[in-house]
Amino acid sequence: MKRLLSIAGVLSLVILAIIFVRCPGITGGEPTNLRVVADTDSTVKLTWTAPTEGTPDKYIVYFKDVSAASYTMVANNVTTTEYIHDPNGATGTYQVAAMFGSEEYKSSSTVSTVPIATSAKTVAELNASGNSGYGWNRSDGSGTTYSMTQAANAANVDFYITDFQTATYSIASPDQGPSDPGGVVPQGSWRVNAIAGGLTSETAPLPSHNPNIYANYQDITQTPFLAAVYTTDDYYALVKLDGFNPQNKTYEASTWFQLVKGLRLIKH
Amino acid sequence: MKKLLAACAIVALIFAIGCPQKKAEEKPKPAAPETTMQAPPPETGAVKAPAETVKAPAETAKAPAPTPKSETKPSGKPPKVGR
Repeated sequence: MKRLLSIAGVLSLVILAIIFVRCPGITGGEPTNLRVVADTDSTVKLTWTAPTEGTPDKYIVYFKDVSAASYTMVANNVTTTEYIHDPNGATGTYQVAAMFGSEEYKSSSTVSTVPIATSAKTVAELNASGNSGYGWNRSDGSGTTYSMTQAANAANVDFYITDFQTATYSIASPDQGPSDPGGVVPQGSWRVNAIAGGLTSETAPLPSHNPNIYANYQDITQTPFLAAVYTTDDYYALVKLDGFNPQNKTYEASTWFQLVKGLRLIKH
Repeated sequence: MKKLLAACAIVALIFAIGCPQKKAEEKPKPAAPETTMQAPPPETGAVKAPAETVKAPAETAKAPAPTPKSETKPSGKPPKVGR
């Protein structure tokens, strides 16, 4: 019996030794609930929840530019659960790690400021055949064309194409529809958006919302034509109109929608 | 002898199972390579302020009868309004 007890005692000590040797970071854990919002219209604010396993010594913030292949460290001594980053016009993906001593626990989730691209879709002039309205889904950023002749679509449209019964075409805010000389848009709760035209870069930050730059419509003076749309609910998007078809009176619209509300970064 | 073998087997089992907290240390999978884009051009901020081309509607009320309130539908571009 004594021999049995002695073997059990030795065995217990061995097990405890194994546990302590193999699990030095037993109190560590990863940050959770990582979120991104706009701090200003060109900077972002990251927030997260501390690990349930304990308070880390510090956090490290990583950023992967949309045009880069890997993450780079942008902050390595954060002691709170938020961080403001100025990406200098870039968009990308963020990840946060909690440091417990030399042990690093990276968040399993990431957040992104990369705008959501929707490939070219045909949009027609208001009185031509086909949908002339276009709008973005606020959940996934995807773009869809809509008919402007149905008031039920008012809640979904962010811009439409019209010639206002003149020789030139314009990209216009939906609320212009009911008074458009085209005469086919019913009254409704059409969005009161703002549009800026004449952009020269597809990747530079969109202009800050400002009534000196944004207006109720913009004339399409060339193709491709780049326009910024600032929506009534504080989202920014880039519209590229190309492939004008004079017979059908249509354009091909490619768009990039920034899902982070209030952020005008559009690099893609 | 049998007891010694049993003890060794338990130790080996513990090694095999390992420590559950270790899993948290796993590095995240490397993200799939993204499509490479051209280098970002310098921010030009070259958004031209929209020219205010508000054209006053031509006064065409030449009817002999004094009917200032015409019922004709509006035509042409609306005033461009900053917003």
